[in-house]
Amino acid sequence: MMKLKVAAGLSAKKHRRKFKAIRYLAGSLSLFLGLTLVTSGAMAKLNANAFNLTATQIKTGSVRLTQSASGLSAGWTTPISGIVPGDSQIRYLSFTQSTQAATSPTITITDSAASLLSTSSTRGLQLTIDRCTVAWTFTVGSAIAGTCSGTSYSVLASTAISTLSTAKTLTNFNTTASGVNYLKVTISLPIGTTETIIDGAMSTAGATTIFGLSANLTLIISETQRAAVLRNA
Amino acid sequence: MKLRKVLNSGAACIALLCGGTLITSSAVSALTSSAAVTQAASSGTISAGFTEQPTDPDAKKAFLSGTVDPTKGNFVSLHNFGTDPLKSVTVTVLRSAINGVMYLYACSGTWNETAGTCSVSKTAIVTLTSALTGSSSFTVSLAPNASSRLQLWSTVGNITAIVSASVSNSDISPTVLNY
Repeated sequence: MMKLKVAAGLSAKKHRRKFKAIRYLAGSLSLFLGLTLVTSGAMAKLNANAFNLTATQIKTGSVRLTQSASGLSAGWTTPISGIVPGDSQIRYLSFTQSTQAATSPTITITDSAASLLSTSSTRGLQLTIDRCTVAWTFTVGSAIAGTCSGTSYSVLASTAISTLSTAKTLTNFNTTASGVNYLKVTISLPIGTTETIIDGAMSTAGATTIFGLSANLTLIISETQRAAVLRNA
Repeated sequence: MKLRKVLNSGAACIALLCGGTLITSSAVSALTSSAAVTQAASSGTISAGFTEQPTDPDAKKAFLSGTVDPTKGNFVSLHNFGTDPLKSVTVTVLRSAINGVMYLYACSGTWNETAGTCSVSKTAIVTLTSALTGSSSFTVSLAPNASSRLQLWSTVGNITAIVSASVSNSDISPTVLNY
């Protein structure tokens, strides 16, 4: 009986130890599982997204200026021949803005065959530009300058072409979006210095002459994008 | 709390990305535009002279030496060698000696060169009475490559004279043309 009791006491002690070991193991497993759950919880936060169902459309604007002959005019490409001091030749051009507004229009003229026509500020060619809000009215080949039935503006006062080798700012040039500039471009040769030719030769030997010269002019009108803006929507 | 922090951080990242995109777009759109056209231009020439007895083809003077026909005089051709129409020309007469009176006439009508007469009335452009030389500008409509006849006449039959022509900017008519 005593043996039995002792045996029974030993067995109970062993069971308690086993139970403690199991609890410890269970605790450790719980801790491990708990950590796993925390890790799993962190991953779920990173995967949370919020987004707009309709994509936002963003388009960049464009700054584009196109040139064409205006109305019946053959435009700037019609050559000028035999111009003499006092003469004026008029060309009608249209410059159209793209759908974006621009700013700071300038003009530059280059001459690939430079001569007194494009290098002399007093004897060389001069350029005047006027703008009309509607197409100019004129007759091709007529000696009467075209008229503006809308509102006319001076875009460039009479300026020596020699000074336009560097960009010059234009005034009253329409830079609004889709704006059309109906331009009347007048090229003149000023009276300037009187030249006398006696019996087919210059009166002063070796003197330069404005007669019998050629120029190959390229007219460039440039502009830049409008000022950047910040908008709330 | 942690979730909110993470979302805020993500939103900040998206905002930064968008900001970067906007800056790039802005840099690209800072464009300039140009429209260019080219045109050829040339200036004309003016030149007038005479076609008679040219000892020097480039001089374009008229050299007259000999006996003047008392009936019809001597005719010379004033020619427009330039590319532009002339509205006036200055002519000069230089004689070798002062003997008699010398005239240079223009005709507004048609010359009869055999009879030395003008269909309308002849006008003395230059008259030399007691001088070796004299000049005058007169109105004449001369298209390029066209000529106009002038009559040189002297009261003394035997003469030696040079007739020359000069033109300048004021002898042409400025024009305005639309094209």
